[in-house]
Amino acid sequence: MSVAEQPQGETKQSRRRSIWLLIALTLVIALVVMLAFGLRPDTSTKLQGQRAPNFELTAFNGEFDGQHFSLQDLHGQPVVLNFWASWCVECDKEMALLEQAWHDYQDQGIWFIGVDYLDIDSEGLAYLDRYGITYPNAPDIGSRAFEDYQCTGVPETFFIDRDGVIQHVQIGPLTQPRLYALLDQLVAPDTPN
Amino acid sequence: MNKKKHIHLWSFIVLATLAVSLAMPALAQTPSVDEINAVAKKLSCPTCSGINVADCPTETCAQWRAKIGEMLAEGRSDQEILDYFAARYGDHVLQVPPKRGFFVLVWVLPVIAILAGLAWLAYLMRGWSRKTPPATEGYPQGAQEAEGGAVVATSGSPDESDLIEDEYLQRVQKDLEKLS
Repeated sequence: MSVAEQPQGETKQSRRRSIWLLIALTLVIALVVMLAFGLRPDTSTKLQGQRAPNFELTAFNGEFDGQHFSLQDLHGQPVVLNFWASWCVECDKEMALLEQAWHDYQDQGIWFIGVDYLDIDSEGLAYLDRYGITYPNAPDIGSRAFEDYQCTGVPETFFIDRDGVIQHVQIGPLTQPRLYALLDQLVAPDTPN
Repeated sequence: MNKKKHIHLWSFIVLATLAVSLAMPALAQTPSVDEINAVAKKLSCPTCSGINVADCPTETCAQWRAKIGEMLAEGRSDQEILDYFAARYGDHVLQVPPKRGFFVLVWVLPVIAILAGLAWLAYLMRGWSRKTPPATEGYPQGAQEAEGGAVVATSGSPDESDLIEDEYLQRVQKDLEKLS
């Protein structure tokens, strides 16, 4: 029997089946596309030039112990936000450097804030003691700051200007020339917005 | 001399008993490696993927296991420890996702997918069962039985398997005819 001779009911049914198949196929393709976009890694570097997400942190070290810090409260002042962890080997390379830079630049109104990521507090504090860190550091409760800043790992450092815009994202440890060049840009009165 | 020996012996016994009685609670509260690992197995290594904290050799997980040990020694329950880690580091550190927020999707989506699959299968099967049998060509239905014992009888209202077998047999018959 040719197709033309098929009963009308059968043709209708096969058309309906094709429509269902098309719907199912569309759904599967949509799901695959969604997954592909969802699994695409977010990188912190794409935040460069954008407004920095707000953070709410409570310091746990030294003279700042218990003091609350948020980007909103620091508006109008440049901020260096450094993500680190006591188990992070690469962080060792920059901790002493950051402390030195904090001493050199703090009188220019800049804030250094360390964020201790996925760490046991006692281990984090021992690590800060080892490097004699005096600028405020805080545990990242719920890893919220890490996620909001779309960090890829530690160490990562965000240079935020007076207007709350991220001027530079450093993935990996900083070197002294690079850090000081970035800090000079950040404290300069004509920091680009 | 004997009296002095006695005093020494009794002093030793009293001190030993005191030391043991003081050490007992501390010993009793020290969690075993198995107890620590039982909790650690329910947490994911935060810096690697697909490994639980009990099996992970990294420094981070060693620290976490030590923390679990401390908390168990303090008398905290397994659930309290898991809640602490989830609150401190985020829900993603739990091996079994919590039934709240975004993680609800992890529990709901498979159920929806299974139900959708069953509905789809039911729809397809209904379509197959409704399929009208194509009329056989070449052989009148009554004659098929006479062609040979192997041919399935199709008189009356044949079911689908009979028809499929008929079509196949017809093709075989045709091919045999061509050969002869």
